[in-house]
Amino acid sequence: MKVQKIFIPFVHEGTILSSKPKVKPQPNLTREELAANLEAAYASKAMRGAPRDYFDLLKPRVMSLVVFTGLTGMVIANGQMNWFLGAVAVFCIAIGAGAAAALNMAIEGETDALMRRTRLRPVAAGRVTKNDAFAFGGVLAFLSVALMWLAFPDGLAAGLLALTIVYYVVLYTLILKRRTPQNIVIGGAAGAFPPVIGWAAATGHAPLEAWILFAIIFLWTPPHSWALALYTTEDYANAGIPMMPVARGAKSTRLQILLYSLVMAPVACLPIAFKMGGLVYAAVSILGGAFFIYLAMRVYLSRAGDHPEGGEESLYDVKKEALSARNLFAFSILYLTALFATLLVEHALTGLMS
Amino acid sequence: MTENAPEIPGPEISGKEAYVAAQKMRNLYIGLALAAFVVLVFFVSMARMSQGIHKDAVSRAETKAAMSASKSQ
Repeated sequence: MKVQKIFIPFVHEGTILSSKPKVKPQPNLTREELAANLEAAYASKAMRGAPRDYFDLLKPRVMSLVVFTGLTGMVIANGQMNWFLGAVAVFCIAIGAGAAAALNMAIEGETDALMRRTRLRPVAAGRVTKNDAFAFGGVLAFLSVALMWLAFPDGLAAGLLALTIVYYVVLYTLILKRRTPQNIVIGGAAGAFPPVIGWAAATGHAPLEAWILFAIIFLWTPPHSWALALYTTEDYANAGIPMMPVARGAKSTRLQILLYSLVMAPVACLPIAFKMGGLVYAAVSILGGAFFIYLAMRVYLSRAGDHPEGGEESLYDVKKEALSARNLFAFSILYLTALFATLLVEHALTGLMS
Repeated sequence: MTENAPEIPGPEISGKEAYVAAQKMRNLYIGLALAAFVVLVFFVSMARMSQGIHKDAVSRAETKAAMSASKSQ
C-alpha cells in the first residue's frame, strides 16, 4: 500500500511526522559478502561453547577446595540439621563459588589471555564470549543465594554467600587486583568465608570458632599465592598485575611469606584451645605448621623470584632457584587440606562414637 | 518492507550445522538445569515444611507438658 505524502511545514526528516524516514545507510552487500559474514559468525569458536567450557568457567579445582572447607565448617558446627538441607547448603556454596569464578573470568578475559597460566581459560581462549560468561555467572550467583535463602530463611548463610560473591567480584577482581600488591591479602578473605557460611547454615550463627577457621584460611592465602607468584612473576608483569614480586621485588616477597607463615602456624593451632580439634588435629597442625615454617624459611634464604624469566615448555618449567617456592606452594595445598580433613574426620568419628 | 532486500543464503553455509548443533546442546543443558532447579526447590520446600511440622509438634508437646505440670502443682 502506498503511503500518501502529507506536507507538514518545519518538520525535520526522520521525526515521526515526517514522510521521509531517516534510515542509516546500509552497505549494499552482495550475496557472497553476506554469506562470508555468516560463515565467519558460524565458524567463530565463541559460538561453539560446549558444556565443558561452561563447566571450566566455574574453576572446578578452586570450587572443590571451597566446598571442602564449607562442608568442614558445617560438620564441626554440631548443629542439628536436616541432612538434605545440609547437602543443599554445600551445593549452594559450590555454585556460588563457581559463579564468582565465572564472573572473574568474564571480567579478566583479556588479562588472562596475556598469562601463560590462564590463557587456556574459556573466555581468554575465545571459546565463550564475555557476555555469555557474565550471564552465566550472574544467573548462577542469583540462584545460589536464592536457594540458600529458601533453605535457611534466617538469611545469615545466604547473606554471607552473597557477600562472598560480591567481595570476590567487586572488591578483589574489579578494584584491588590491579591497584595494590596487597590485593591477595585483602581479596583472599573471599576464599576464607566458606567455613563460616557452612557454620551459619548449620546453626544460624557465626560464632568465634567459625571465624577461627576463617582466620586460618585468610592467613594461609598470602604465602600460598606469593609462593606461586615468585615463579610466575613474568606472567603477572606481562599482564600488568601488581602482585607482590612485581611491585615490591622478590626479596620483600620472600620476607613477607616467612612473616605470614610465622603468624599462620600458631593460628592454625587455635582449634585445639577451643576444643574444635583433638589429639590428631594437634599433631597435624603442630607438625604441619612447623614444616610450613621450615619451607618458608628455605624460600626466604633462597633466590626464588630473583630471575623471573620462566620457560616456555610448561607452566611448571621452574628455574632451579625457584624450586623452594614451588615446594612451598605444593605443600601449602596439602597442609590446608590436611588441617580441614583432620577436623572433619575427628568430628565425624566423634559423632559416630557418641 | 524495503525494496531490493538482500537474499539470505541457504543452509549450504559451512559451519552453520556445527553452530546449530552447539546451540542445541547448550539449550538442552539449560533446560535440564532449569528443570533440576525446579525439582530442587520443590524438595527444599518439602524439607522446610516437614521441619516446621516437627517444630510445631515439639512446641505443642512442651506446652502440654508445662500445663500439666502447673495443674499438678
